[in-house]
Amino acid sequence: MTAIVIDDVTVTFGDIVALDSVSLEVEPGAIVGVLGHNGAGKTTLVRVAATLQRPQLGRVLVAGVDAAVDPFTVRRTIGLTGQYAGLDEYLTAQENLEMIGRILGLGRAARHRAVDLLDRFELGAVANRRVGTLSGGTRRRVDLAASLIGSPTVLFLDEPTTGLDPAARIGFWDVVRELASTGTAVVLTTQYLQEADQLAGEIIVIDHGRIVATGTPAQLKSLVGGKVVRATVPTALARAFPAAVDAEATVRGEFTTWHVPVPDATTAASFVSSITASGAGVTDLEIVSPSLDDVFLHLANTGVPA
Amino acid sequence: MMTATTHLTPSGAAQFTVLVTRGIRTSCRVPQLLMFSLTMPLAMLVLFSQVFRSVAQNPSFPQNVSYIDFVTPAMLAVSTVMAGTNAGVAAAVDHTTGLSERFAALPMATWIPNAARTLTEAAFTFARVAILGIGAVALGFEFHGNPVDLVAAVTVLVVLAAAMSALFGVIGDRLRRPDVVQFAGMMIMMPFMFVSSAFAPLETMPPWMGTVADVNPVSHATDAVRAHVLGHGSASTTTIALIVAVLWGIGALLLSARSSRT
Repeated sequence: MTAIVIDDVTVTFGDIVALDSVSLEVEPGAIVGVLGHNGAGKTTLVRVAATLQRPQLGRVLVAGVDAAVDPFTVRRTIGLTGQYAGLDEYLTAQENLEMIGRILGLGRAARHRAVDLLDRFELGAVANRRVGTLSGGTRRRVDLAASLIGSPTVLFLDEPTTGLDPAARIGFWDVVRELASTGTAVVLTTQYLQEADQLAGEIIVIDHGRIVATGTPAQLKSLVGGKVVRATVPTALARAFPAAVDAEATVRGEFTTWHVPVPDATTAASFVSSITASGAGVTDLEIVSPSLDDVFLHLANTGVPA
Repeated sequence: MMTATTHLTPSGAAQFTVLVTRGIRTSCRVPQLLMFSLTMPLAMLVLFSQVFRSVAQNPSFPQNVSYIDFVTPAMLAVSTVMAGTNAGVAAAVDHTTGLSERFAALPMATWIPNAARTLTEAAFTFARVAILGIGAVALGFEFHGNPVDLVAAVTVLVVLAAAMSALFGVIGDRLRRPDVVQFAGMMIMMPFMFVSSAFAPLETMPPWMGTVADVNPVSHATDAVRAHVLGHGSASTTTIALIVAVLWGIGALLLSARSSRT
C-alpha cells in the first residue's frame, strides 16, 4: 500500500495560497525530498500530511487512512521532526523519549525502547543529561530518536539538518537511509539540493506553493548541469565570452557574471580554459555544484513544467 | 529493532498521568520559578496587610475582625491566579520549544496537555497555601475554624487554582509567547483581584462592581475561605464558590478543545 498519498491539496491562509493543488505519493521505504526556499510551502506540506493542518481542498491518505476522517489512527503511524526540536528542555534525553513512548501507549516498554534508540544514535553518554544543556546537533538527534519511538511507518523530517555541522549532517543522513532500508517512508524537506541528492530517490521542487519540478536527483541535476561555472568578466569584453546555449548573464555595471551549467567537472575544466583562450579577461571565477538557486534560475528561464 | 508495533492503544488516563508527572518534574527543576511563584503571594500579603489596614476602620467593615484575618483568605484566593499564570507560561513555552506541535502529532486528545497542567498547578497550590499560611501566622493571622473548615477552605483553593490554570492554559495556547502570557496574566489578575470582595467589602464599592463580582470566581472563593477562616463557614457559600470555579474551568477546557482543532 502506498504510504502517503497527497492528492491535489490546496491550503490558504487568508489571501495567501500556501499550497496550490499539490499532489505527491510516497511508497514504503522511499525517501522523497521536498526542495524549496523559505516560505515555499514545505512546512505547510508536512503539516498537512502530519494531520496538523487541514487542507481547504484535496485529501491526504497515510497508510490508506484519510487524515481528515481519522487523524487519530494516522498519528499512530507517523513520526514528525519539526524545525524546532520538540523536546522538554528540563527533562533528560531519556525522560523525553520515555514520555513520548508512554503517550504512544508503550507503557513500561517505553524505557527499554528509549535506551535502545539512544544507544543506536550514539546518545548513551548524554541519556541522563537535560536536553536544555545539549548542543544543537545533539538535540536534533534526540529529537529524531523521539520521532522514532513509536516505530512509525511514515516519517516526516522538516529541515532536519538546519544548523547541524557537516559531520553531524552526514551522520544524520546515514540514520535516515537506514530507516528507509527497513521500510519506513520518509518525506524530507530541505533547502539544500545536495541533501536531497544524497538521500532522496525522488525530489519535488516547490515554489510559492506550487510544484515546479519533479524527478530523480539525476534528472534534476541534468536539468541544471552537474557543475556550474560562474565567471565574471568586464562587460566591455562580455561579447568575447564563449557562452553555451543555456548560459545566463547578469550585467552589473561594468562587470558581467555568467552562469554556465556544464555536465561534469571535466567539461568545467576545459570550459575554463576556453574562457582564458577567448580573451574575455576573467576577473573572478568559481566552479560550484548547482544550488537550489540554479534549479530555480533554470526553471524560471526555461519554464520547464512539473 | 524497527519492527512495526502499529496497533498501539494509548489510554487517555495513562497519557494524562505521564503529562502530570512531567509537569511536576519540570516545575521542580526550575527552582527560581518555583521560589518566586510560591513566595510572591507572601510578599503581597505583607504589603497589603500593612498598606490597607485602615480599611478595617470603615464602618461597613465586619466587627471584631482583624484586617490580617480578613485579607489572608483574599491573598490565598489571588495566589491561585498566579498558579494560573504559571500554567499559561508553561503552555506558551511548549509552543516555543515545538513540543506542542509534537503533542499535536501524537494520538492524544487535544485537551489532555492543558488538563495535565491544570492538575500540576492544583498540586502546587498545597505548597503555596502552606507557605502563605505560615507567613500569615507570623503576621498575626489566626484560624478560627475547625479541621472541617480547613479541609473545605483548601478544597476551594485547589479547585480554583485548577480552574485558573485551565483558563490560562488556553491563553498560553493562544498567545504562544511566555513574556506576553506574563503580561496578559497581570491584566487578567487585576479585575479578578480588585473587582471582588478580596480587599474591601463589596458594600463599599459602586453597584456595578458588585454585579461583576458575582461572576468572579476569586470573589466567591474569597468569601468561602474567609468564612471558614473566621469560623462561620457555610455549606452554601462553599458550594457556590466550587460551582463558579468549576464552571470557569470547564468553560476553559471546552475552549481549549475547540481552539486546538484545526
